[in-house]
Amino acid sequence: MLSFLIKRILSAIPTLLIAYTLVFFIAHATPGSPWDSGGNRPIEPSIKAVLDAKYNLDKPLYVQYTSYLWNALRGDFGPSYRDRTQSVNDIVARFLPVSLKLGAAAMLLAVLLGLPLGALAALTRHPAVDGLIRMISTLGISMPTYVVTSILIVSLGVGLGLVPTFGWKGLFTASSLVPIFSLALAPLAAVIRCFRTSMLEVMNLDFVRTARAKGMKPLPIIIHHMGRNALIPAITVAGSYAAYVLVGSFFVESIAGIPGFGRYFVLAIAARDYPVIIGTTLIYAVIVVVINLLVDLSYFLLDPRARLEQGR
Amino acid sequence: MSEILLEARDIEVRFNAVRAVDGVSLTVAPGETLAIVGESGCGKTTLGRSLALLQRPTSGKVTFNGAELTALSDRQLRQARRQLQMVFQDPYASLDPRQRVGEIVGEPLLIAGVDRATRQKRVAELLDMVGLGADMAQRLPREFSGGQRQRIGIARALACEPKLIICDEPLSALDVSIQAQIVNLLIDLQRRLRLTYVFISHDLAVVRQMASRVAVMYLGRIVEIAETEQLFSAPRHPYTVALLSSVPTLGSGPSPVAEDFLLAGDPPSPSRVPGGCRFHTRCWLSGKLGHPERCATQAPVSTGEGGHLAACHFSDEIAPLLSTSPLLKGAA
Amino acid sequence: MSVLDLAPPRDAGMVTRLWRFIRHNPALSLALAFLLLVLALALFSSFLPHDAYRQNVLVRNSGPSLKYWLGTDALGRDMVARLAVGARVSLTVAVASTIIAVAIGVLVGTIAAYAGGFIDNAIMRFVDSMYAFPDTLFAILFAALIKGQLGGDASGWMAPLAEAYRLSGGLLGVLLTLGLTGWVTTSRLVRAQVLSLKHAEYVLACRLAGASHWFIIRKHLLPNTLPVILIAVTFVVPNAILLEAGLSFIGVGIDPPTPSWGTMIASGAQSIQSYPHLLVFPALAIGLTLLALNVVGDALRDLLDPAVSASRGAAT
Repeated sequence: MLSFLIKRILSAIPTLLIAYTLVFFIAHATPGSPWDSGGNRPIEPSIKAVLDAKYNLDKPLYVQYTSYLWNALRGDFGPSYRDRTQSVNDIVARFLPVSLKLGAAAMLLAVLLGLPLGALAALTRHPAVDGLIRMISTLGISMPTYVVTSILIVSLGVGLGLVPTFGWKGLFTASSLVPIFSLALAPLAAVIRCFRTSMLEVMNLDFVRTARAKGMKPLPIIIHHMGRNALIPAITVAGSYAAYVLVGSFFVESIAGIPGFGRYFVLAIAARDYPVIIGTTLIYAVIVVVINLLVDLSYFLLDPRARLEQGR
Repeated sequence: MSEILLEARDIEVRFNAVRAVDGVSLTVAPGETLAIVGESGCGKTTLGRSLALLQRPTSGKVTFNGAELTALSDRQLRQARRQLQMVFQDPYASLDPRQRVGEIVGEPLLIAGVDRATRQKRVAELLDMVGLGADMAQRLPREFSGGQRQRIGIARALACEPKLIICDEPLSALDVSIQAQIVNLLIDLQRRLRLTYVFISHDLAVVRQMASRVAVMYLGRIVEIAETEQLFSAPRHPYTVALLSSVPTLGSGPSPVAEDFLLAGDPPSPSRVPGGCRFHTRCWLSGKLGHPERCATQAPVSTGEGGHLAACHFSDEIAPLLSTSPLLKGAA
Repeated sequence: MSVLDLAPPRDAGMVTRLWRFIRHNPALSLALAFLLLVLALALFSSFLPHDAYRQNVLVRNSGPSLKYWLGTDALGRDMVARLAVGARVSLTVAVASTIIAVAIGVLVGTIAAYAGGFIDNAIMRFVDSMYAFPDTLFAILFAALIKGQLGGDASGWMAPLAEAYRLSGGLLGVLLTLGLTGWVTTSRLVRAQVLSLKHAEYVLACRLAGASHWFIIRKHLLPNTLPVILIAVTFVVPNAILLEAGLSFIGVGIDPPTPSWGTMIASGAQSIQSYPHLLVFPALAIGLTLLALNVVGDALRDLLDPAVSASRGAAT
């Protein structure tokens, strides 16, 4: 268990390092000094020198590479170029919680809705139910989040007036409905698809057929035998969509006007605010890696076979 | 044996901790057929591939036609082993499904730089030689049966007029009635083209029909090697005896005597080779002799006369035991 | 030959089977018809009644009408014409970036699998790192870099590139971005396939015949990887269209005034309240195109390799 955990964490390090390296060099290959804000107000050379020294910008590139990494490891991602009074950390603290809440709610919705729908599709095998569920899943996999958000806002907000078309009033208000559902659609489709397939597989396993032959009622079999075995792949799939939900938030938050991390990232890109870009990208990388780790871990805890394989 | 076409010396093939082939030496004379037999997993396929240097041996030397293949670079090797070809086990995996038969058989010629017209003529000749019509050249492999595919594989091996063909279980994927046809084809080709074969198989009946000499492999080593008739009539290794007595014969049902020589259990994993004689954990002879300590502690050396070598401490004890067993005589 | 050794019967031609397959699959026929329509619009956009760039202040933000089928945008430009040119941009990006991405993926995957050992390990470690990371994020960063380098006043050897970038209205940047970041899935699929083919007995036979590595790759490995490459294409093409619109939406893709579905959605989102048609039509265009591509891709994967399409989970 411990050795598995250590191995997984160690293997995440190169991933993060490569991500950091790529982002660092991309940011530094992009022209412009951090301190010239648009060029119309040239910065005083003495102040520039102080700022450069503070953030090691007067040092050779490899020193900057290591010192930024060192600072980032200690949790300091540097200042924002766009708004020098704010550090990346301040921005994260202000905008990330909104996105995290949205993302978590979307994932929760996807799992809570996806599992029963997937099970229903597998159990009823009614062509209409099956067809409907297949349609949802194909739609969910094909439709980009920005399309879903647009259509939902236009139909529910502009057309029916059920939800606000723009802005954010908190997680438990009507303003969060469209964003949450937009983000949830793709993982929802994936969970339905995956849970349906694995339920069908499990239903044909010998022990389930034996239990049915013994006269056990369907529901206890489902819960006792099938759920757990079919749950693992569904969880893995849901986890693999965490990154998708993160990225989806760029578009959803931008369209729906939600002051979250994703929207801020898009604005930072437009403004070429490189510390913010590097910092947020790294934080995204860490989130993705951590979620992947958690997914692996849940896999490991739920499936004894995975434990055996890893032990080898 | 005055002439030597192929010589292997102390070949060892390791995959991480596993020694698939563990110190094999053998020679093949021009015109003969050396059979290599053994249970699956004993390393005979790996040995066959390492003789052709498709699998470079971890250590040891392979000399073919006067050239030391193991000392050559990849580029030199391509030239030097032109006349060493293989016929493979799986007639379904050994033909590229996207190539036409003519392309498959003519590919070695294409690589050798033979021009198109000559190639077409030669392909027709080769297809004819293996009993398929020249008009088959435009077909795809999937249109053929297993036996026909194996004929195509043989035609490809013959394309560049090889001296030696390594046949890696060429029959095991075929139906029994087809096996006989392929055996006859191989024997016929050998006679007509003066071929030399290394024939890897687990089918002792076929081996007896085809081979001039037989090497018996167990867990990566050759435990006995002899002329075919000698090996079948007077085996000197308990493992060989066990293999021979497991050959089913028509008309004779299971006999209590045969069980004397049968193998106990499965072969040990090649990653955990027993110490001493590697066969002692399954050896009936060792059991009969009261499990002598030598078997478990000391690795036997191959000894014998007249080219009949066996790696067993007690190989002289076998002949008297066999004379009392009518069953083995019948089987052999 | 004996009864047991019968050759299998010859089967029907590929075209016949394909046609039968399409006819018995209404969703597929519909999807193909829609894609053909999009393709026709893209190819013949100049024959449409209105010009995609012609501004007309008199008909700003007008709704769908007989004259302007899908209405006009904030500058009075015809939506149909703009969607058609947007389709051309999308399809150009999809085709060109897919060629680049798949070529890189095939190269990387083949080299990794064929070379094996240390090279394989190093390459796959890198690929795994790319995989663990949302490709959209990489694409955004990459596109921002290219825009930064080429969008401004470039000098020296970059100058001609910057000129080409300007002339293409940002298309070049999107192409490079998607080409250079979209090869990861392909390389994995190709690697797995080459790895399994590398030890095929027909490859061994070819090696024995004295073939060079290049000969083996060209004659055996690549032709037999073709179905897998096509499967990769079914993933890469929709992803390219999705990402192009995404990049343009964020502002690091196609530059105005060139219409792109992504920029149209972005500007439509700003007037969602008063002129929803500006958002809905481009959103529908891209949504339906992606849906159709996925339906076709699914069918193609079923045709090529049932095993792959069954085992595919959240591959994209």
